[in-house]
Amino acid sequence: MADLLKVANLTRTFGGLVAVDNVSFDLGAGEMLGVVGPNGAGKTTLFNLLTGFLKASSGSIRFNGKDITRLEPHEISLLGISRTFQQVRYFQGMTVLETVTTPIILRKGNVKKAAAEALEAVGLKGKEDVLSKSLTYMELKSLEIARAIVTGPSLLLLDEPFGGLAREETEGIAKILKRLHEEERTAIIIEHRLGELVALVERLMVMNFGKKIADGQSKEVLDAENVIEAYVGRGWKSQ
Amino acid sequence: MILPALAAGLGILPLGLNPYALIVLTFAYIYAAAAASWDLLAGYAGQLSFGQVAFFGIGGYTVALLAYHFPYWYWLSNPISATVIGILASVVFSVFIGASSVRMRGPYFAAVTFISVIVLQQIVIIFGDCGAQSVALPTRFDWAHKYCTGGQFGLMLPSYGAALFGDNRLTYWASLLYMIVSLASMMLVVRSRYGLYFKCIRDDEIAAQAIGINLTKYKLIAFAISAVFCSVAGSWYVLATGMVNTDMFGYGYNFLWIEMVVIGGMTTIIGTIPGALFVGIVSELLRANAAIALAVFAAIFVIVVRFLPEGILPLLRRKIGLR
Repeated sequence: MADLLKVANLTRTFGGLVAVDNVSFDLGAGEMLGVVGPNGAGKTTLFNLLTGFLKASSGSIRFNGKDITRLEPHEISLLGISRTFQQVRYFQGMTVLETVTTPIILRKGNVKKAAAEALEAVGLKGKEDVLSKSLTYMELKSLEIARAIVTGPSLLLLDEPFGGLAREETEGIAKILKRLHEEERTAIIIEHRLGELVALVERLMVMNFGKKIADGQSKEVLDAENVIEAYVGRGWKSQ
Repeated sequence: MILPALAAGLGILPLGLNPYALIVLTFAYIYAAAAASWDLLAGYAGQLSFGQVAFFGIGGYTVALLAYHFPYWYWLSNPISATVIGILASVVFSVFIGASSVRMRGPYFAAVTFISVIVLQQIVIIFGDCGAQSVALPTRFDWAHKYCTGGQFGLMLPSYGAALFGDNRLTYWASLLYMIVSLASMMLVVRSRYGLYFKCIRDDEIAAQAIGINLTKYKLIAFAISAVFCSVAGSWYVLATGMVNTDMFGYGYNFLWIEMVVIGGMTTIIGTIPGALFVGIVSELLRANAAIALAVFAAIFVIVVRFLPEGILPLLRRKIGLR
């Protein structure tokens, strides 16, 4: 599998705090990687570095062979990396349709077809003319995913797609993610709900205090002693 | 739907109004266009500028100074050329101010735009002291008048105003037509892809970047487009009135336009028509006592923000079913 993303010795410090500490990993096209770790482990900071919202203190990020370490967020987005956010970020004064068509218009693509497909995929068909601010939180999460996938990105970064949702609400999002998995999309997913995540991804990367402490097949990673100690605990399977 | 209906109604008004009322309405139309340019920038792109009046002044003074100092270079000083030069000057100024301030947010951006107006007003005053408005038009190009702005008193331009259009009624119709064309053009802008990008930036800058929008570029474009429309409003003001003074760089206008937008309906562009008519007519009714007028406007502003935050136009649309 050819590497789509190559992260090498990535480090980001905030004063004396090392939020991401010498992290390296590769990601092949069509691969889905789960990133887990306790709060403050540096997962979202890693996403912010990959998407240009934060600049690396050292290290490099190559995407499709191109060095994107110092690029601006909009440049990285136009290269084909889309993302969602831990706290939903949406355009409250815009309709559902405007929200998903704007990224395509920006890239001069086929607006109608792509928008219809994205809204169908996340179950928002029929809500095209609804203002975003009138949507439920679960619908906003779906809309954010639709906005991210509508341009057919090469790499999708999903930051806690189940975050903030009640257990019964996660089913809709799980369906969307399953579909993305079936379509063999390349994605990195940060998630605390291990059960749902492990059902989706074959590979897990665990972070703790900014460092990568494990990276490999999901089952093996979750059975590793250092991961059990730092994050999952001994009884996570029974949760 | 609403714009043609309004235009038809306002178009037949001169048949039954006295000349004074026509002048009041003519001013209201020019202010409506200027206020809409602020709505485009603040309402659609979310850039809270307190310096919009700078472009009104640049547009106005460009037309006035060219007409005053270069009357025999008509290819340069005619209303159309002068307005275009005013637009260019405004765009250059907007890019200059914008480039240094669009990376700032909220109060910092507002402060920079606010201060830029003070600078321009002072420049006009500093370079004003080489003749008064009573000085006759130079018979030929005269270097002594090169920097003459007329200072605080400004300049009178006998060839403009009623002399340009014929009479008050024609000035009224021309100004009404100008306002309609200006607002319709702004509607086209906000309904284009630029309008979508502006709204994304207004609602969430981080999400806007995440979908690929270049913040600096599109904020500057919004700033420049609104500068163009406000500059033309300033030029039209001078053409319609035949006078210019430092009030054109005054905060009075800026706050008046904000009031018009808020009362008429923010993020509507054409809401500035009812907003400007309301503010314009109430201003005239209270003209005898400026202090009371100020208090009344402040009270109206608070009441509208509290009880009618969407403004008059969205309310009308809902009540009458107009679109």
